[in-house]
Amino acid sequence: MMNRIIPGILFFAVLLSGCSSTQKEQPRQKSLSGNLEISKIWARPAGQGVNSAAYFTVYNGTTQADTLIGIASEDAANAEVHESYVTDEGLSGMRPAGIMAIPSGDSLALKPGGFHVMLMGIKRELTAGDSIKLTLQFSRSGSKMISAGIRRQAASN
Amino acid sequence: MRLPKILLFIILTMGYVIGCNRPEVINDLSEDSFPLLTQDSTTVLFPKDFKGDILVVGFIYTHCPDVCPVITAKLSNINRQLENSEGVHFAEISFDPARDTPSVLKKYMQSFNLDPGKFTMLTGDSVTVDSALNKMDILAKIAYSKTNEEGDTSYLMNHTNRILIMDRKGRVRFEYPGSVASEQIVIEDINKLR
Repeated sequence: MMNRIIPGILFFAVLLSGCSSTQKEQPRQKSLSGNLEISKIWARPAGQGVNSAAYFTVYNGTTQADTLIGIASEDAANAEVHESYVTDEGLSGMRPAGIMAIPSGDSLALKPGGFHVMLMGIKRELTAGDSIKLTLQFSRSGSKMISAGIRRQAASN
Repeated sequence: MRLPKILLFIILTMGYVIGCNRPEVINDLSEDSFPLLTQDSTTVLFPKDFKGDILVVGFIYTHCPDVCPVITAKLSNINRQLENSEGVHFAEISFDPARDTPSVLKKYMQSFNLDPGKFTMLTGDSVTVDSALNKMDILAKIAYSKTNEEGDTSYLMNHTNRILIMDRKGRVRFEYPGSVASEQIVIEDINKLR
């Protein structure tokens, strides 16, 4: 009888120790810096009159939630946050994502295949190595101007 | 004469392995020849004029800034990573021929630094393009439009997200979800068709 119980106890002990080590490996929460931090900024090349997409990550290091309520660029006829999605028919599409809330201590990541800034009607040719200025409007933190370098692909990191 | 069992087993196993490496024909376009325009405004018959090469095909429109550039970048990466790219050609067909004229496609190609010796961008009249796309089960339709302050309207499309490989006879042998296809698997499959 004991020969059956002891391996069972050992199995659960190993299972539990595995659980606790997983918890220890979880990254520690980033401390609040008091600012919105915008990183990983880039945009795609585009010819005049066509569309481009811009990407970035916003970390909300303030103590309160903030919301990305608008985007503008002098180099595009329209700028708005879109998301790429798959339709019920299995087609790839893009649609406006509306305003984007970012809780305190949380991040909003715009990246290929997901959320992105849709820059419609680019007014000048954007080539690799060039850059485009964007003005991001936040409900609490006000406007932030960023410069997105033009790249063919996301950085590999 | 009876074959020893071990020899019979080896022959059957080899046959199975060889069979696995020769994928079925998914779609046969070997008898089709759709007249399309290249980025240089040259008329080519698709896929007839590409026969003899293994043809990797992507489907895009140049006003698509998120998913389609990923497909184009993947094709570019695959071409760069092929140890031997001889006998392999890449084509991208636009499902937005109204806006994607040859000159627009040429600029798109240049913006991705695609080698014109290895890549061909294709457009054409909308009826012919639609026929070619239908034959390959590619769907595309206008889904979202926006009018700016100057009154100019631009639109986005919902579309099939696919990369496919045709063998040297113009038959589709492999298909992948375009923007999320594994470049390494595509390269392995290209090599299976050599």
